[in-house]
Amino acid sequence: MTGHPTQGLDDVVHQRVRLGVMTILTEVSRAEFKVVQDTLGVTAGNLSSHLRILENAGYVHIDKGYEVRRPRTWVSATQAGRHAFMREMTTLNEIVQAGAAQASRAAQQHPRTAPGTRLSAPLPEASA
Amino acid sequence: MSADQILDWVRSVRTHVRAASRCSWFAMIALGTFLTGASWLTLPPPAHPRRSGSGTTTAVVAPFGHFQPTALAWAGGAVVAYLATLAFYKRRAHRTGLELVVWPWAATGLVLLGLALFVAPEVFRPGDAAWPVYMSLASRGALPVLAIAASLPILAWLERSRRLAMFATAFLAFSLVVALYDVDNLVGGTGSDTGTAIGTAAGGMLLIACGALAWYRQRRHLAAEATQ
Repeated sequence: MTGHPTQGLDDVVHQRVRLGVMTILTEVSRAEFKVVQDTLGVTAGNLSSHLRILENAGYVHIDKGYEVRRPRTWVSATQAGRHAFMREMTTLNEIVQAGAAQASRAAQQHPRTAPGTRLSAPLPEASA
Repeated sequence: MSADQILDWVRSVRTHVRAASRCSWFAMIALGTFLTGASWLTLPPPAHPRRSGSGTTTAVVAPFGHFQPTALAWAGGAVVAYLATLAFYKRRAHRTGLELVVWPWAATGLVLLGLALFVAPEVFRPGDAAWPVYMSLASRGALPVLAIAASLPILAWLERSRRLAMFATAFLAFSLVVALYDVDNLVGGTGSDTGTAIGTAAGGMLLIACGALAWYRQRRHLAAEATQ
């Protein structure tokens, strides 16, 4: 083991809006800007700035065009973006598992500790 | 936000996107309609070995090769069903703003169907090692149904739908039964050669029923999401 799983988190993808964008884009081949905006409940300006960060990292591809004289912007995840998202999901799962393992170890060390009791609290035997 | 909460949120976004983008129900209804309609087109059985005077085995060749009207009708109907589904996916992507690429499923289905209808009868010959297997699958004329069923798992994979994957596996098993077993035996054994037609029609109606159920579930899910 090289270190705590949090070290594997990717700062570009980990931010909430960007993680949401990548979640949507990895489920479909491409999504329209407005749909991503509505799904995540963010403003157009906010989404644009996050998309720019993802695009600069090479994680998304933005395709601006017109459909029936209406401007439409489609966003799709690149292969690198899909890999980065998968790594992020793996890391998050590892963090959850590490947390569960830590809680289990703590419970074994202090078997009489009731669920929800602070582990630092003195046990009855120790105080007696 | 803890890692647990982030993962829960990702799951909820994912569920919403999948529900909004999927339309495998249309694919199932289109293919089901095609199969039900085509069930009366019983394909001629593959060439059976015949003893010639010298005692050697030869194949009987159909008068127009293997490009027979029934095979062409199957191929034409399947092309229409697959193209209609692709057009529906495109239209829905335009409306919902979420596009799924499903042409690999359609391409696989059509290639498998083409192989089953036109290539296999040319390739397999009596005496080949693979001939008994081919005869078992093709002798009842249900090889095209098997080809269509074999492409469904690809659609399940493209839509990331576990439920569709389970249905595709069950439908593939059903198609194998239709191909290998004379369904006519189950419905009274009239002696007429209607087993394949009955099996194909039943497969088509099963697809339509499950497609309609999938459409209803998706509609209900989206309506519930809209009220939240």
